[in-house]
Amino acid sequence: MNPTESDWHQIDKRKQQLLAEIWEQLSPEERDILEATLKIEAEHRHLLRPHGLKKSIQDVIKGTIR
Amino acid sequence: MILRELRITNFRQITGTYTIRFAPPGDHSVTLILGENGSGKTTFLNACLWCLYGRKDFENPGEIISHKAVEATPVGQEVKSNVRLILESGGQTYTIERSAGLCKLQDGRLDDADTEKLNVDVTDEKGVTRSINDRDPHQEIGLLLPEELAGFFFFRGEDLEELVAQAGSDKLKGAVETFVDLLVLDRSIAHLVDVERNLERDLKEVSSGDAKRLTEEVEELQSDMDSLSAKIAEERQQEKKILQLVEEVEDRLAEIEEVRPLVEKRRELDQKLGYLVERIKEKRGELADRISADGYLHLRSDVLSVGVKLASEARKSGEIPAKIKPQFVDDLLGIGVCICGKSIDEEARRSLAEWRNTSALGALETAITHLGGEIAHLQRRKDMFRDDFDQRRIEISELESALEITEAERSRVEGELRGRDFRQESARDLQAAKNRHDSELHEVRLRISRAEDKLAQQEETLEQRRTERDRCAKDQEKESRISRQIQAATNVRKGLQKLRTGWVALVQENLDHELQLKWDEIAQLPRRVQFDSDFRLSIKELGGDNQWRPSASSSANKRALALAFVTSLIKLADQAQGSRDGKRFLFAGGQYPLVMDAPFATMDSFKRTVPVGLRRTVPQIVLVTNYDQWQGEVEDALGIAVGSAYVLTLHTPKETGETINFRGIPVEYVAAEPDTVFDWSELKEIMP
Repeated sequence: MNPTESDWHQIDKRKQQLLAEIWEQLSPEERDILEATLKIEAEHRHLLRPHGLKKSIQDVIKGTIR
Repeated sequence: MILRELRITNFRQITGTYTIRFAPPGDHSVTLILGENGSGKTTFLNACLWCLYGRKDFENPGEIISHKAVEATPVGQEVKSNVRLILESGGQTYTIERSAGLCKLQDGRLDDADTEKLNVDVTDEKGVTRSINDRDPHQEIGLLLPEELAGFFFFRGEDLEELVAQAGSDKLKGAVETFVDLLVLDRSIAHLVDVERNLERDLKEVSSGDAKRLTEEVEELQSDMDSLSAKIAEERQQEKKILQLVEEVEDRLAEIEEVRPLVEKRRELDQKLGYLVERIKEKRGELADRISADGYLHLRSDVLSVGVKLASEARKSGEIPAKIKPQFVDDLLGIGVCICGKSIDEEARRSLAEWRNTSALGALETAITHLGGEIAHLQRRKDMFRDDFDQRRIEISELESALEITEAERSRVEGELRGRDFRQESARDLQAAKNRHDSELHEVRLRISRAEDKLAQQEETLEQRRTERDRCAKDQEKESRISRQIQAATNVRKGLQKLRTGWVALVQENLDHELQLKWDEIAQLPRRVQFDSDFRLSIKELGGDNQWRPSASSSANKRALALAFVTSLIKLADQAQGSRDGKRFLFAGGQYPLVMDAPFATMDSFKRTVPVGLRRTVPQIVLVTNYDQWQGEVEDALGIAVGSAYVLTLHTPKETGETINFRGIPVEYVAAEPDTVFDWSELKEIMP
């Protein structure tokens, strides 16, 4: 990493690039699943041991791929 | 997160209620807390961590409340310990208060009920205060400063060295992962793995024929892969343990290498000391012989002077020299002729002989002449003795000075050597141990590598089986759908795993880069420092062949490296602030203080550069130290930036107390309290 890249914004930018690369490799359904999964987890992140998230994600997958 | 105020009541050794107002960021951002060893410097640090996280990383964690306060509390009444920390973050003021109250029983003990309470209030920019106890206060504190990161901002000096050791890599990895905030990613990945397994089971239930067989094979493969992954994890743990052993042996080997010049120096000084002691003994012997031979002359100098005086007086009175010498008369009598040419007759001969026999002057003169010669000889011996005596005294004095200097030098070398862990093993034994550990390491890495290859093969086989199964299930709608669902879950999981790995690597790379800049700033020592992809900190120095080689790190270097890492984290946290606006579920970043307990204890070579570097980089510093470590270079470097200062006065059953001088004002440092049963401390503001 060169000195000009050594700040958090650059890290964030490169992370977004990484995410975009991964995004490109997924099908539209898989992108939906990815978004939904992260949303479910983020909404429950404050819980020490969240329950039922596995089922929610499974439901999303089953609902997306019919 | 900037500290504003700490109020502490009856916590551990600190008895009473005291308030510390922390110096805010700016030109005078250092809060200094001075305290003698045993006065509760670490207690102050523990109070902060207990308040924030309820953490009790101290001996006898059940004894939070001050013994002295318990002693003073009547039986049946409650005695309380309380710590309130006020801090600012993101434009809001947080008041975090934790307390523990226990009732004193008849036998003087305290009841063991768990009565700890935590209260968190937030005051916004408009001054409106609300309690956030209805939400999870631990969660709120975790957003301000995640507990995994707390050890990087609130620490004891000795904790710093652990970060640089092999065992510290887990902590450093944890710090990076906290910055990246992997909780959501990790939970997503784990849940997707479970979902894949559930879907596999669903598929097994609905499939038949080849599809069912293949599904069973997939299930079996997954089970094998789970076992293999667990085995790899175990082997990785084993690898870490061996690496730790290798590190210990390398440290000891390096220490032998490092101290070799000192040991040789000590040997050389011992030889020199032996030589000097012998020379002094020899010179003293010579001096004694000289005194024995001629020393009396010095003591009898009056006798010599009496003889000289007598001769001098005889000359002054004209008694000597004699007008006519008896020899002259004898000669005249011998030849029988007077000097006038007349012959000496019988009468003249008789008169001359009579005169010669009665005259004593000639004998006196002879005696005095003889005595004069003897006195002159003795005087010369006396002078020579004095010169010799002086010369030998000078030589002895010079030898004694050389002895003193050599003894001081030896004492310094001995001091440097003291405290190092000189185990009895020789370099050869250590090398043998290192070879053994290297071989074990090679073996375990080989096993890991084989297991990972096998895992990759199984992964490939799994994919093939799934593809075959999908082909078989293609015509079966339900089976085909579940297969596609499994495939989607797998693809999403793999994408998230890639994101996780990539993001962690980005932060690690950033910290690695920043680390060198911070090292150059705070240590100012030509070394290459690294934070590698295994989350390990290391120092390299330039060898004679111009190649960077791992350096045998001293305690001071390790502490400086850990501080460079911490300041890199502080910079990263500062930069992270703002980029996470609106993401209230993430660690927000922002400005962070350093609260350090005796960080410079073994950092003699960096006592000036490190504090100066920290002052430039860290927005707020709380330095807890004893007076000895403060005085001198640290004071020169940080004194100008001190905005508030306190002393922890130790009350102890000693006969005499101790007063220190802070900026011209005498401050009670240790209070002698012969009647006190427990050591206890009070906190006083000392800023003039």
